[in-house]
Amino acid sequence: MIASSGTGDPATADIYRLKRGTPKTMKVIFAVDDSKYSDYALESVSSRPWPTGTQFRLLSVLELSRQSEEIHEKLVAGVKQLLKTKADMLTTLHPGSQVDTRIMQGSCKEAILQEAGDWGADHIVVGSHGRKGVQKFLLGSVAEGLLGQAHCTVEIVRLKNAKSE
Amino acid sequence: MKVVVPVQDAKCADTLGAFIRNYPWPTDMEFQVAHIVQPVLVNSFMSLLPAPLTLSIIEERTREGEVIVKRLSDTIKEAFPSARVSEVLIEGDAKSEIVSLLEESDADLVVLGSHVKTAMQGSVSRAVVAHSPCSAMVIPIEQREPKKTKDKLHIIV
Repeated sequence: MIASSGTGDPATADIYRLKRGTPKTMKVIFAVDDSKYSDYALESVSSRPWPTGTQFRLLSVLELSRQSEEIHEKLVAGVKQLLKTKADMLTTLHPGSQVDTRIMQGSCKEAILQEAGDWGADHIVVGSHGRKGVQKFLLGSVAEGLLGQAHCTVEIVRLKNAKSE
Repeated sequence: MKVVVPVQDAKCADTLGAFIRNYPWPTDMEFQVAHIVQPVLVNSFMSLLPAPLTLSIIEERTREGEVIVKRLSDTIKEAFPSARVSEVLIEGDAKSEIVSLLEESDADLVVLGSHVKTAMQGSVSRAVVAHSPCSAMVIPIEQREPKKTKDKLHIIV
């Protein structure tokens, strides 16, 4: 940040880093689905300068009750592919970070909370209205459920001026 | 990137300050620290208190607000010397004032505390997130336990 402060003086940058201390490495969960909101969330948040050693976990939840074996396999394969592309994107952007993926079965909100608790996440990133929430007061129902219950910080990413769409 | 940080009390200021210090912000940052001074509503509904009496209450609240805003903006200035930091005090209803501040200032992000232990269950953060024109980060002010569930959901992969 200091590099852009006008001077670009490396000496100042060092002082700045000392003052701020090494930021604690964070564990970040991205809730991913195939909506444009989720794409945008990942894009905008991954563009930030995450420090080396940040751990990302891409989480996708299948909410449907278990289908026939064949359909289920197909679904999982599709989601796996989606997560893989996004994970690759993250790895290219942040070579020093660890990226893993996870697919869960059940309710979205419960799954995200459970994962955040078990893994000890520091930050959860969700897109504003995922596919369920359009009717729900402009805020995704998943995002709203997380707000009051998550033990860590929750970032709700909204397409700017999405409201007017 | 422009970030609006509404802050309610000292504890809120400290928690938000700690979070903001730790977060990997992009290079060009502008922070606006805001405090909403709650008007004395009794007066507007029923005129139970004559205006001169409520005036001193508002003044007291404004003074307190100034201290809190200063505290947080100092923390941010210390952590990010290159960022622009401004302060603002607004009188009115927290939810609607924060939302209109976000609209006016064309902010990219709002960083909010969520006070869930109060009777209103984080109603301000909920309302702001629902109506905000931009992204939002919600930070729990009180320490919360990670969720423990008895029957774990099935992990497929």
